[in-house]
Amino acid sequence: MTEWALALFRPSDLADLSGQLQLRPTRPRLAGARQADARAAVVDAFGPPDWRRLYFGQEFCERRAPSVSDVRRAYATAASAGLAFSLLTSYVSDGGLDRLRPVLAWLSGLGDPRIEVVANDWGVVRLVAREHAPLRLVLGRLMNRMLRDPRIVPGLVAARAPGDALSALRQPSLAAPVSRRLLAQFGVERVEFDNLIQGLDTDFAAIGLGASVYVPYGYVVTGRACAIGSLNQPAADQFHAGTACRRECLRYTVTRRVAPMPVADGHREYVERGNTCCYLQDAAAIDRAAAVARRSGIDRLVYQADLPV
Amino acid sequence: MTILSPVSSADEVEMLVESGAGELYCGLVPPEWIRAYSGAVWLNRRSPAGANLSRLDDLALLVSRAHARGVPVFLTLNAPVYIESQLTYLADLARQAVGECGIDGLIVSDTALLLTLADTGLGPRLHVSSVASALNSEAVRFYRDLGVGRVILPRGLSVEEVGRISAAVGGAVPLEAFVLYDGCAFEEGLCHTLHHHRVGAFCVDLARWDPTFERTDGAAPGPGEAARLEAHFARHREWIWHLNACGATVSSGGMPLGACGVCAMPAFRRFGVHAVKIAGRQASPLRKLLGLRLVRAVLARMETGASDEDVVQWAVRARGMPETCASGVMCYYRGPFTARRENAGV
Repeated sequence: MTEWALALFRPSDLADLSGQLQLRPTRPRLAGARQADARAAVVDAFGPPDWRRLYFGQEFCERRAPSVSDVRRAYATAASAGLAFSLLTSYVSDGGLDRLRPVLAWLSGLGDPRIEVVANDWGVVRLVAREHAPLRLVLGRLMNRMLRDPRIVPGLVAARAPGDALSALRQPSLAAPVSRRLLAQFGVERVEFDNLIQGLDTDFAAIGLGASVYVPYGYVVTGRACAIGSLNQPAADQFHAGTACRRECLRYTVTRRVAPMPVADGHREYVERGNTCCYLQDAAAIDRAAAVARRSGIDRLVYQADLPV
Repeated sequence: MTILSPVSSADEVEMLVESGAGELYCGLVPPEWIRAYSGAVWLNRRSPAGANLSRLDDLALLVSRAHARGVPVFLTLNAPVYIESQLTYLADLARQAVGECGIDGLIVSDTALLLTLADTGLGPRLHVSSVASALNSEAVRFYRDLGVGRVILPRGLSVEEVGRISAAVGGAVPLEAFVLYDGCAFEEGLCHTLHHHRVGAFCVDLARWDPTFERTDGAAPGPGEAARLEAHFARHREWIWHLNACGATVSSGGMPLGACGVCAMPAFRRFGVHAVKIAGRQASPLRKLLGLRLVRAVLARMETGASDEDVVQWAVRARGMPETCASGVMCYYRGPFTARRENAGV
């Protein structure tokens, strides 16, 4: 049985949780139409939503990490809808850890045993395990470093990549016994994945790990030098980790269409928001996610209401 | 502070050591790996062709030549992820590389492989690759707790952030930082794409594809707004070109162009950074040599007591492209590299 979690990434998304839970498109025009198609594909593949959790926060940008007041509001919103709460956290610098500490302190002070922290940085894993042990640690999708290149992976799959290559591309190192020992040491009971184009070939139920899959947006790359975040900076101060952005990611989304296609079957459209590039999975990809979930014992679907930045 | 240089052949060892390399690192992709996985699954972060040795005998020869000159050699086993059956194979390969070839250290990113190798007693020889994305003090402590011997800091950190990590944990585990070649537009360890010859680097591709802009409020960008965005992303495309070796061009003085962080070296030395790294195992011997000479010359000026400002000015002159240096587009780390600036953020 797959439970559903709704992932929201902006405090403003909390205003209409009811609408979000009904999977109303949140983007305008063509992007919204595509979002509606993806929503229909997810429902077709996984069945009607069985909402259990609200994910809230940021996986990709420490500057967009929610404040204590944002998290307090998100937690209350989740509770009012009868949902458990998971805090999404990003890869972080020490400055990002500084911003995260009071949020973790507030959450751990609630004493709610259902609260999860989705960690996407080993530093966050260590911090939570050592200083906020009541919070349940989840290893986020950025912690599994499997190949996600939509330009070439469809071609590798279609051509049945030679030797053991395809098999290797489908297995996470997180499933190895030595990794499970590490996860147990830090109290991690759940690991998360993107909906990988090549599929996923591990029986999580058999190895005693909870597993989640994110739809309908797949992430490809992310980094600390934000293209759009440099828009309003002097030329000599653009495109580096220290650029003082004005949160231009909240205003613009950039779409790029591949031309010419270097490899047959490669994905053709990429969407950048802020420091991260994603792609929208089509109905066939989402259908494969449902098949993989059934086969691999993936017991949670994380539905991203919008691009995860 | 020592200089870590890439090497891809035993024939390069003497040249690199004589030119100032205090340490060397290389890669090895045995034929059985290629037979099993083809070019679709890389054993380390570089393509099997060009950047890697293919035989243990060649590795042993390379190491023996380096050791004869008192220089240690490290081996890269730094693919982002390995599966269970590969861990067994790589543990055996590491045992042979260390036990039979004399490799001094292993550069690793995947935690499963780190743990596997630590279990065999190789912990102190393990260097955490930049691909592991140790971006903060707690992450460095996480790896230190695994018993590793060094942590290589990602290029995505600022000088101030390197200083803060070093102040927090540098004494407990030696740190290494990049100073030349091969920039990454995204965070290296969080870029899950292939630099496969059929597609190339994703960031380069991405910059080549024409962008269209959508406003979150649903309104179309106005004419001035759209033009401004297009101009901005054209600059972004130029930045990526500079990170990627400026199209393999050289300065008027013959210096290879591309990503660089040598101006941060005085700060790194004050922070106690143990080693500075030159990227590019796949580079030609000449490119390796010229890059190494530049880094060695910068370090020599630091060792003679030159001020930070003098070192930076000299480095900018040596690069031979002062306007490009001033623009910041080739920089891993942005300046000015003065003590006042570094301290302000720590």
